[in-house]
Amino acid sequence: MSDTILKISNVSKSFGGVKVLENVTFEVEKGNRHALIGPNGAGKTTLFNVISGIHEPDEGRVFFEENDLTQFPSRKRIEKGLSRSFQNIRLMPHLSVLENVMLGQYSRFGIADLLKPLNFSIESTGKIEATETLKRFRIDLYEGRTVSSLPYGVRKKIEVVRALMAKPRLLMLDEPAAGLNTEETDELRKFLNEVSDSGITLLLVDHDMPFVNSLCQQVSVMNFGQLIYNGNVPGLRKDKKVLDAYLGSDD
Amino acid sequence: MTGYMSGVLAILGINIIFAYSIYITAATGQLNLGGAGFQAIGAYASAILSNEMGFPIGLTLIFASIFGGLISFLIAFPILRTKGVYMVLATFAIAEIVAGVILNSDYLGGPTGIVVNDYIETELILIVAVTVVLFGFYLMSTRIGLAMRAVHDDDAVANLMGVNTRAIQIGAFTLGGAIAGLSGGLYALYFGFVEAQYFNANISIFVLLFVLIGGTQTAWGPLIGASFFTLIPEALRIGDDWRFFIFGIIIVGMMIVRPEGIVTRDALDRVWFKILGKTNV
Ligand SMILES: Nc1ncnc2c1ncn2[C@@H]1O[C@H](COP(=O)(O)OP(=O)(O)OP(=O)(O)O)[C@@H](O)[C@H]1O
Ligand SMILES: [Mg+2]
Repeated sequence: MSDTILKISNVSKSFGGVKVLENVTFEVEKGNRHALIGPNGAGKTTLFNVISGIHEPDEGRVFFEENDLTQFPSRKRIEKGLSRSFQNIRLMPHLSVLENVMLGQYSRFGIADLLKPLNFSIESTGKIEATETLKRFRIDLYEGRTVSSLPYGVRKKIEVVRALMAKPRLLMLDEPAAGLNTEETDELRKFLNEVSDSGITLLLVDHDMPFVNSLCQQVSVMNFGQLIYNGNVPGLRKDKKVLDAYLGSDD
Repeated sequence: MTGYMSGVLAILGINIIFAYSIYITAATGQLNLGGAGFQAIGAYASAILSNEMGFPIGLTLIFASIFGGLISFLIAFPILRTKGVYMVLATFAIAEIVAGVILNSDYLGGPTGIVVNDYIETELILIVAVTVVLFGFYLMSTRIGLAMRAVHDDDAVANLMGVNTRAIQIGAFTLGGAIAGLSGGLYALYFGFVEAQYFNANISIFVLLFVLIGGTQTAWGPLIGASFFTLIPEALRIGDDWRFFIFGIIIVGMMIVRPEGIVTRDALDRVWFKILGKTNV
């Protein structure tokens, strides 16, 4: 068995008496490209929120690289090597694309670097790196613009790049391909393959099965707050619980 | 320089400094409607330090800032528990408390005020104003400035990016108080007289208007806003009765035409594009 980077153990979470996560247990292997799928409202985003510390679980624990993060402040999780993107794009509307992306680097700098002017110095290493990543993802065209007026697909990509800028060891993406056209989805797959090749573990939520099929090696399925499948992608089609879950919804 | 010009420039300088104090807090998304209170703290601190302790001007101004900053820091903890309109009201209340304390204190001259013995020239005010403006631009160009603007836009996400949102908010509020104190110190030393009635709600409202109408997205906002608000009424001095009426119309018009302030990111980008042929990030 290879190394585990993330371990969710018996996590439960309720909102106002409604159980949204029920005794969820699963592991993500280091270096893997792991998908988390399930019908709408299954609790996928809530699980992401528990992992990133937005919500504290009612029960259960979250381990990241041997450390118990359950009580760990959400702000410091990114320093530990865990960063994420948001399903409902959460970019800063008044910051430019480049500034949004550079915000993703924030946790990597100490106070001395935080006090260096970015605009007046010729080029800072962080700025060069941010620009290059935007170029690799072919959105450098927009770098000086504020984000609110940009096309949906571009903003979706910026979400991914911003999360990547923290140099995480585990990158969690919440529906990165949602709303992208076929061409953009292909591009995203290529980009995420490169990210994966560079040694970063991926955990991603998505509804686009062809995308998940072609990118991920491991898949976990949630339904009504419970984990109902954990295994490889081909096995999905033969699993009765999974079939029932998906036939029960119109997904 | 005529006496009139010199007087206008002094007020302009003080207003610009004051505007940056409110701007630095507003840049993180916190509205301070108690500016006059913090300015009063600096003004009275200067009056006392200069008169009673015989502090030289430089030291007086430094302590006026430290005083303004220290009190803001202490107030920041309860104030920043409130949000939105409640925070606006809380800061407003703080300024009223400051005025109340001064009016009821014999040591601080009560309603009669204090005559300040030492004095400064317009030039010093302008030098300090330029320094404060440059500092404002510097701060907003750092990653701390980036974090401040991120806290303004979405503090929950900023937090997940590793930004200590609470420290940023408290720091900005404290720094704002220090700069307001500095502007108060300059006021006291320039006009040679401080009285509680001057530091009233109007002053707090006006300085916040400087900042909001100038725009909180870039460090240009307070400079443009304070200049606009100080110079336009002077220029309108001709029709004295109608002055404030016309001024009011201009303010409402600005808010309709440019609800995010005169200077916005997008407007600046368009200007840079014209000048440089590229956007300045
Ligand atoms: N903060 C919250 N307060 C109350 N209820 C919540 C909260 N967050 C999520 N829920 C509820 O929890 C359930 C699971 O939501 P969640 O967003 O985790 O689902 P999801 O699997 O991500 O769905 P989708 O595929 O639509 O994104 C939903 O019924 C949702 O309404
Ligand atoms: Mg979701």
